[in-house]
Amino acid sequence: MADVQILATGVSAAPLDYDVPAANAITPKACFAHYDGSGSAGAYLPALEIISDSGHTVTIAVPSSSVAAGGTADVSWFPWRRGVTVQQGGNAGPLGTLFAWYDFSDTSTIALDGSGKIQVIRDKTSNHHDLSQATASQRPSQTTVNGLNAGLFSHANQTWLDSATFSSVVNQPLTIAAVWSQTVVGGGSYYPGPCGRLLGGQGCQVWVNGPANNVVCGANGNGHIDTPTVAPFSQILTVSFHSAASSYIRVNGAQSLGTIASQGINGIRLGHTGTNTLPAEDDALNGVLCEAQYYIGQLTANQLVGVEAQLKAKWGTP
Amino acid sequence: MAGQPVDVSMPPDMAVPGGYTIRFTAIDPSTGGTVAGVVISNASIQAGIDLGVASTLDSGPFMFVPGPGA
Repeated sequence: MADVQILATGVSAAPLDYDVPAANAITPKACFAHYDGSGSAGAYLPALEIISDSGHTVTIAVPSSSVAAGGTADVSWFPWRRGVTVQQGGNAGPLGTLFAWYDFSDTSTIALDGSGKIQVIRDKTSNHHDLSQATASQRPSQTTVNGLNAGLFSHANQTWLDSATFSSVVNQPLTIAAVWSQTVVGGGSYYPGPCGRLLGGQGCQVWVNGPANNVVCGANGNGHIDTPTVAPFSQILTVSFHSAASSYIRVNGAQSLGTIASQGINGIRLGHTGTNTLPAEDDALNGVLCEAQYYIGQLTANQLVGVEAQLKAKWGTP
Repeated sequence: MAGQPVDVSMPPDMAVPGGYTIRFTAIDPSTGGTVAGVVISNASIQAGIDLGVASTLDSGPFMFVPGPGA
């Protein structure tokens, strides 16, 4: 392995592409660019994007705050720093403090059983909140979304993936960002994947109200926020659970504000909520989960749009 | 003219295979689309590379500068 410097020789309107020659592979150690936004009418996030040879975005790195309209910036990218510990401990993600992160496109984090079903998906943070399913018939299978690997969950087979109980409760505020699609089958209300496990009640949950065709978040069975009618269910979802009035649920950037009950979570279950108090709603997801990110606290406005922009670019959502 | 300094983290030890593209771009924080009117200059990538033939590394508007050991 040798060190090289690859330099742009001129000035280019964004985007500026460097195509890695087919015979080579490189490992970027640091990147830099000068951005001149004097000709732009709006704020922007300087971004470094890795695109596969099939045209899919593999990853994208953006700052936590945007450059104002007309602004210039000297932007440096470097490998992220780990080790930031806040509350229950966690990693400094690129746009917030993650305490759990499940990325079905990263097959290195997935362990399949002998039938090709997902037995384990590992938490990409260092918190080790790995999810698993011990019952073979209830393991989700795999599919592809935007050319990327994704988890396929079945209502009929009651599939889900579960963490062990956390050593300490993750209290509000907490934020979930997820990409999922869902088919409402059967009757009543059906639940998408990102949700909390029981904690003396119902934890923090997200579900689709089948008859009303909207998405709902709530905590401990008290107080909830409904989106307007949303269909089809193929969306970027961002939810902030906060007992204050600043809780929100967003679908593809459209935000609904409200107040929900104070309730932490002591585990994560993808694909199923599981509520003892509302057994009729104790049901499994019928659909696809692409990625779920769990953050400590509420994201700043710029972190929020950055997270959603990353997920949108990666998964090709509406 | 120097701009405001902005530091951004990126994944460590990220091998980028041949045929892939590294794109410097400007994203609209509301829509996720590319912002028109933003101009990029002095772009550079410091990287480790398994060298084949150095002359094959030129690509698009970029030029290749061998570093120590290259």
